[in-house]
Amino acid sequence: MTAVAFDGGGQTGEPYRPPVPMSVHVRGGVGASHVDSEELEVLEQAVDEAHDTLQHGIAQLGRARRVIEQQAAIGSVTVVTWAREVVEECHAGPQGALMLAEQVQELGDGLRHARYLYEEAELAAQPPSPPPSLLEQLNVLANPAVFLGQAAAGVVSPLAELGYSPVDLGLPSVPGLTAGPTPVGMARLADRDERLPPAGVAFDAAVRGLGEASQYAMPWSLLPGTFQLSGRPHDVADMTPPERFLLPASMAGSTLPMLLHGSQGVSVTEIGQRSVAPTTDLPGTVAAVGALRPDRGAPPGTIEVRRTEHRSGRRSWTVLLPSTQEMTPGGSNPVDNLTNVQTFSGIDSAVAIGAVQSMALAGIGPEDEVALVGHSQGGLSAMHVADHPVAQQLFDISTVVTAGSPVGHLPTPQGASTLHLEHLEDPIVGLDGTQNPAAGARTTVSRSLSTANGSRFGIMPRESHGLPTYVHTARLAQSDPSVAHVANRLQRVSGRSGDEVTAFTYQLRRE
Amino acid sequence: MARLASLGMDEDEPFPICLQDAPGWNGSGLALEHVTTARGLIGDGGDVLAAALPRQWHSTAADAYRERIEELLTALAALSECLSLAQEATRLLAQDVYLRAGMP
Repeated sequence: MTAVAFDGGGQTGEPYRPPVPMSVHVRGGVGASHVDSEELEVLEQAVDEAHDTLQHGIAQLGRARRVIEQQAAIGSVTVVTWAREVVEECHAGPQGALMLAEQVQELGDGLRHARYLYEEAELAAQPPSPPPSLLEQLNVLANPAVFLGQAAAGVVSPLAELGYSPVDLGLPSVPGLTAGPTPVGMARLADRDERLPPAGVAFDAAVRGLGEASQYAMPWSLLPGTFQLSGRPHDVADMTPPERFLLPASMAGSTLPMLLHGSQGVSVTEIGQRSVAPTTDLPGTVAAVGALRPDRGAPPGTIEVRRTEHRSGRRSWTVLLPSTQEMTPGGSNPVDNLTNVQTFSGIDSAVAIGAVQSMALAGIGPEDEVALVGHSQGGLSAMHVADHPVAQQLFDISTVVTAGSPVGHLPTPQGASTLHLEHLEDPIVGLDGTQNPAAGARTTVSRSLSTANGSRFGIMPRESHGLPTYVHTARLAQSDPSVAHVANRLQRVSGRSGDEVTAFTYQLRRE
Repeated sequence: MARLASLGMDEDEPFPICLQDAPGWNGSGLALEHVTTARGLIGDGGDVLAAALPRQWHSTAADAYRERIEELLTALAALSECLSLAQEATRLLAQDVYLRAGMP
């Protein structure tokens, strides 16, 4: 694990604040390093203690300034002016105690966010808790009220412990939003308390709590320990509690298209073909996914397959997959929430099926190197497709890049190097209930937006989950050895200046 | 104390002992007292930060913080010098107020 990049200097007109280290954290990949979250906590506590002591000193300087003003009428103008200027400089000058205390606090905030991240990452390295036993299951059946209470507590408790309660439980919580029926999500989104874990980490814990309590909805102990799903073997013991909870709902939801359209099918229509300039670096390729958004003029359900004809005569392909476009599940546009829950649970979605069909229609050969790049849902689908036995048989998928995608529970696709761009404040990346595993073929960039360049809390999902922010994160992280390794693989596929690139666009529709 | 001379005051004039022993005496030394306390506290904050820097991290991730902490320690040392000057200025103020108010 490596710390790589800082944000730039202060904004125009603002006092300069040196960048806080470790706003970008890189885990896994080729550049291995070591993190001891206890050590980070000790350092965080020392910085907090130093900050508290500085605050007391600042209070004393404030008192000194008041005394000087009281004595101004008695002392000589020259002496009073000098004392006033010097003490003010020490108190509130550009390098005064107030500014220094702020910088110490920012360092503490950065350490705290780093610790939250690495504590979660250490949890993710543990095997998932076992599925409920038959005895536990029978207990639930015999006491449904207790089960419901436990399920509710399973959700509320971790949120309350994290300070995100919709009601005031007397715990540290969101100022001004602790009372009344404020939805938890809204309270979370409006968070401005620097002591709380960032949204991505908080949602990991809440989703884990929800899964632990709600996995009883399915009598796992009465079912076979292993089963096939979408052509792949699954072991119940390897599934996370949120997966055990969501799979039955996803399977039920998968019947929606049949109910709504009388079919489970997906149509793939080529709607365009054009020459484009090669995207020659990681940020550029991630940014290219943004053109698939309907608000950028793309028809709903559009994906893009880019063919790169290298000057060497080699041919490679980059598949771009968009973020969620429809909240209502099961409609004609498959880039919706049904695809989200299906893909989360390992079920083939219309997008996954349509993507594989599009790749075949575009003419990707078994020897052609392929990269899959997706934002949010697009990243989920990319991981699903890359690990799918049919896709693995048909294509040589070497690289997967996801931005803002909850993919921590998904296996690393065989033969592929994956790069995951995440923000600690992005609640969407917390929906998997776990951090991504750190492995040689799997690199995760976790950027703290709140502590990058001075503390800045209350970041809304529009920013923390937005593609432009992820493009900037890719730019900040690309010099890290692990990130550069994947970026080089990606560039080998997406091409270099002078290569010919043709973009084929396909519209996917459920019908 | 060159500042005393530049203000036309006698550098050799003995500073009222009462201000040194009890800087808040009759209020004339209160600013000096607060600045002195602030300097001590801010120095303590720097000591806490300095003590947090181990010779060797177990965690390479924590190494990223070393440079920033060292920058802050340098800034705190500069602030301590500023506070030293503030002590001199407020001591002069205390003396000036003490004398002008005709205190015994």
